[in-house]
Amino acid sequence: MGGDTVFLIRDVSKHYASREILAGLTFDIKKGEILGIIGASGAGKTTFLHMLVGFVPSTAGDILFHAYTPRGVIEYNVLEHQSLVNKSYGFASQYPSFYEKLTVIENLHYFGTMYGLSHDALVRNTEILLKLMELKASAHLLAEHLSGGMKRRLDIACALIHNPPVLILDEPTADLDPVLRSHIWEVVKRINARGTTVILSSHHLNELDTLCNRIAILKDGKLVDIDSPDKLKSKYSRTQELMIETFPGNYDEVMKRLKADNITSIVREGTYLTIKTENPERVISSLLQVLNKLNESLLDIKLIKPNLDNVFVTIYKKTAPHTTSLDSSTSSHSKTATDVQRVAKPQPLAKDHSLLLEKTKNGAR
Amino acid sequence: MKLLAVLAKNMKLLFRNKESAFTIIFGPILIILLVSFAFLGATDDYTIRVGTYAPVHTSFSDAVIKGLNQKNYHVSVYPKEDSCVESVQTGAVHACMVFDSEEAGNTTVPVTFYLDLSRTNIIYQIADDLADVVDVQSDVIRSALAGDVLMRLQSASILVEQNRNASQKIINGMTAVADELKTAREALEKVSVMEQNVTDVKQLRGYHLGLGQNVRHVTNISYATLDRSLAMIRELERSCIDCDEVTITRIKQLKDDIDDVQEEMLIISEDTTKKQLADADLLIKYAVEDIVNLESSARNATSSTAIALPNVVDAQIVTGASAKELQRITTKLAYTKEFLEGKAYNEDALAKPIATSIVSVTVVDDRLSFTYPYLLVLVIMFIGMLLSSILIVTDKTSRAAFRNFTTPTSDGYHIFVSFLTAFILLVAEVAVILLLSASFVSQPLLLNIGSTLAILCATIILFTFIGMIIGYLSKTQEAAMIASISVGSILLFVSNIIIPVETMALVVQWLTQFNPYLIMSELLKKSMLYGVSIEQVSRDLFGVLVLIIVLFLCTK
Repeated sequence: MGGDTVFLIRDVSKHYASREILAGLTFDIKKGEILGIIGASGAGKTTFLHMLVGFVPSTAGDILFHAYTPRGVIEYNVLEHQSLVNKSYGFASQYPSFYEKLTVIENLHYFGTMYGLSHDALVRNTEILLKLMELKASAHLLAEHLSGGMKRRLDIACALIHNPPVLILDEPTADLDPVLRSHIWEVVKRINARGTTVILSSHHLNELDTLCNRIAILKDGKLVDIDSPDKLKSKYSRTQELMIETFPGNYDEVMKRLKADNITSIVREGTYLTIKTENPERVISSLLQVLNKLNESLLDIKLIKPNLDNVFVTIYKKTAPHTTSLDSSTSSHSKTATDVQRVAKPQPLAKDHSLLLEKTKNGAR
Repeated sequence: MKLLAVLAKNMKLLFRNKESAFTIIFGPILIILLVSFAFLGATDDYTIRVGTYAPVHTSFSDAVIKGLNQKNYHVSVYPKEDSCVESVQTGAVHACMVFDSEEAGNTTVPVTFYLDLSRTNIIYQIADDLADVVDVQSDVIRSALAGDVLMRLQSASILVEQNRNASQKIINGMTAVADELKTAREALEKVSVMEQNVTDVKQLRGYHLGLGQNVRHVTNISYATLDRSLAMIRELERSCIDCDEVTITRIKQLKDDIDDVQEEMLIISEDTTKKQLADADLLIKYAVEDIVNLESSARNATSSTAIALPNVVDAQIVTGASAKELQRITTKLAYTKEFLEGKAYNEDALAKPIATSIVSVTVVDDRLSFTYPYLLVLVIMFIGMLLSSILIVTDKTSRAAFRNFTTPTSDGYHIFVSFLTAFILLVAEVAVILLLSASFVSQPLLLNIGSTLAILCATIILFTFIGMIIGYLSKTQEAAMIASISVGSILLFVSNIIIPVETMALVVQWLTQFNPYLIMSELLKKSMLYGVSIEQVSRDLFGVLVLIIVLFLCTK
C-alpha cells in the first residue's frame, strides 16, 4: 500500500430529479488499499460505486482514474474514457452478475473474451481463478445450480478474469452465512495481497474493521468521514460496555448503590447487568465493593470495547436526531456482540494462493 | 473470437432455456407442421350444417335437399321457419334455406338463405356452396324448359323445310319454262336469217355459171400451154441430134406424157366437166325454186312470229321475275330453317348460355401452396419479433448486463450480435421449414430462387429490427412477448389473411400499404407463386430497405 491514488473523487454529486443521492463527495482512493464504504440503506453506497466506474454518470463533479503504465501515471476522466477505464477494474455487484444458463467456466471464458484476453491468457487466468475461488469441482456446472457462496465467488472470479488493478465489491457478503462471509473476506485479502486495490461496501461493519485499511462513512449522500477503523473508533466511540452476572442477582439493589460518575447508563438485560462507561476501571472497582456489601457472588464479567457498529450508531445518532434505520443484521450484531476478538486480524497470504493472473492486453496498471 | 463467443453465449442462453427454446426454436416448426397437416387432410367439402324449411315440399325443394345430402352436407329439416332461423343464431346450423311453396317450372321459385354473417371467414364460402346446389336444380329446370322450346322449334323447322322444298320444285319448273321460252324466242328470231340464206342461194347460181366459164377458160389456157410445150419439145427433139440416148428417150417420154395430158384434158373438159356443170346447174335451179318457195313460207311465218315474239318475251320476263321471287322466298326459308335448327342452340346452351371457367394465373393449384407464403412470413414475423425482442430484453435485464457494461466491449457490439443471432436462427428455421415443406408441398415453391431468398432475407431483417425496437421499449421478457404478439396480431389483422383489405375502411386500406407483413407476404407470394425476378420486385425491395434503415437507426 502506498500513497499513490487510483481514483480521485472531486466534488461529485448525483441527483435523481429533485432527490439528492450524493452530494459533494471529495476524497481519494489509494493504490493497493482496501477501502470500505459504509452507510445506512439508501445512503448512496451502490450509487457511488456505480458512479466510480461510470455506470451512473455524476450530476456534478469529476471522477478521475489514474492508470499506472511503464511511461508513468495517466489520468483519465472515467466518463470520458469509459472503454479504457473499463479494462482497469473488476466489479462484483450486490447481486451476482453473470449468466445463470452458462456454466462456471463458460461465464469466465465469455467475460474474459469480452475483455479481449487472448486464448492462452484466458485459459491460464480461468485455471488460476477456479483454484483461487475453489470452484474447480463446479467448473462445468450451470451457474444457476451453484450455492449462494459459490455464486458470489464466481461473480468475483468474473470480475477478476482480466486481472484488473482495481476490484470493486458491492456488498459481497450480503445474504451469506458467517462461514461463507469469512471465506469471501479471505479471498479479498488474498487478492489485495497481490497489490490489487479493493473498494467494497458492506453492512458487516465489524468484519470491515479488521479487513479495511480505511473506511468511508456515508450518510444521506454525504461523506461523514474517511479514516482508518481505529481512528474512527477513537473519534466517535469511547464508551465501553461492562456486563456482569451475579448470584443471587439482586440487580435493583446493585443499581441503587452503584453511583459512579463515569457510568453512562446501567440496564438489566436478562441475567446480565449492562453498564456503559468511558472509564471501566473505576466502575469495576466500585462494582466489586457494592457486590461485596450485598453478598452477591460474581459469576461472569465481560468488557466489550467499542467497534465500528458503535461508531456507526454514534455517527447516525449524533449527526441526525431522526432515526435512520439500519439493516437488521447490523443491529442484531451490535446487540449480541460479546466477543471482542470475533473477527480475525488479516493474515498474510500463503504463497501458493498468490494471484499470477495475466493482464488484459491493453490493461493499464 | 469475440463475435463467436457472444453468438455462442446467445445460442446457449436460448437453447438452455426450455421455454424460449420451445417457443422460439421448435414452436414455429411445430406450427408449420400442424398447419401443413391440417391443409393436407383438408378437402373442398366442408362439414356444413344446413337447416331447411319448406311449407310444402315440392319436387324442387326435395331435389335441392337431395343435392345437399349428396354433397355430404348435414341437412336438418325444420317444421317452422322461425326455429330454422333461430338455429342459425345459436350456431346449430351454418345456414337456413327457406323454400316458397310454388311449384318449380310454373313461375319463379323464391329461396331465402339465412346466414350468420359474423362468420366472416367461412360464410361466403357457405353461401357460394349453397347457391351452387340450388343452381344445379335451377339448371335442371332450365334445361327441361329449354328442351321443350327446342322441340317446338324443331317442329317449325320441319314445316319450313317442307315449304322450302315445295318452293324449290316450283322454281325448278319455272326455270324449265323459262328455258323453253328462251328456245322458242331464239327459234323465232332465227326466222329472218333464213331469208338471208335464200338470197345467198340465188347468188349461188350466178357463181355456178361463172365457174363454168372459168373452167372453160382454164381449159383453153391449158390447151394452149400444152401446145406450146409440145412445140417446144419437138423443137428440142430436132435440135438434139447429138444428144445421148438417155436424153432422147426422156424427151420422147415427155412428149408422150404431154400427149396423154392433152387427151385427159380433152376428156375432162369435153365430157365430164360439161356434164357435171350441167347437172349442177340443174340442181341449183331446182334448189333456187325450193328456196323461193321456202322464202315465201318463211315470209308468212315471219309475219306470224313478229306477232308472237313480244308475247314470248313478256312471258319470259314474268317467268324470270317469279322465279327470282320464289328463289328469295326459298332462301329465306332456308335461313329460317337454319335458324330454327340452329346447331349452336341446345338445351345446355339455352340453360347455361355462359360457360365460365376459372384459370389460375399461378403455376400451383393447391390451397396449401397459395397459403404457404403468408404462413412463412407469418412465422418469420412472430418468431423474428419474439426472438429479437426476447434477446434484447434478456440482455438488457439480465444481471450479467452490468458486467457486460463493465467490459470494454461496446453496447453497439452486443446489439449487432443480438441481431446476428436472431438472423442466423431465423435463417436456419426458414431453411428447416423449407426443407420440411418440400415433403408435403407438391408444387415448386422456389420458382425464382434469387428473388425468393432476397425477399426472405429482407423479411427476416425487417422483423428482427422491429422485434429489437420492441425489446428496447419493454422492461420485462413478458412485456416484450406480449408486445410482440400484439404488434404481430395487429399487422395480421390489417392484412389479407383474416379479412380482405379491400373490404376495410379507406383509411385502413391506405395504412395497409405500410403494413410490413402485408408487403413482405405479397412480395413472397409473387416470388414463390409467380416466379417474378428480383428486378421486378426491386422497387418494393428498395422501399423495404429504406424501412430497414429507419428501423436500424431507431435501434441505435
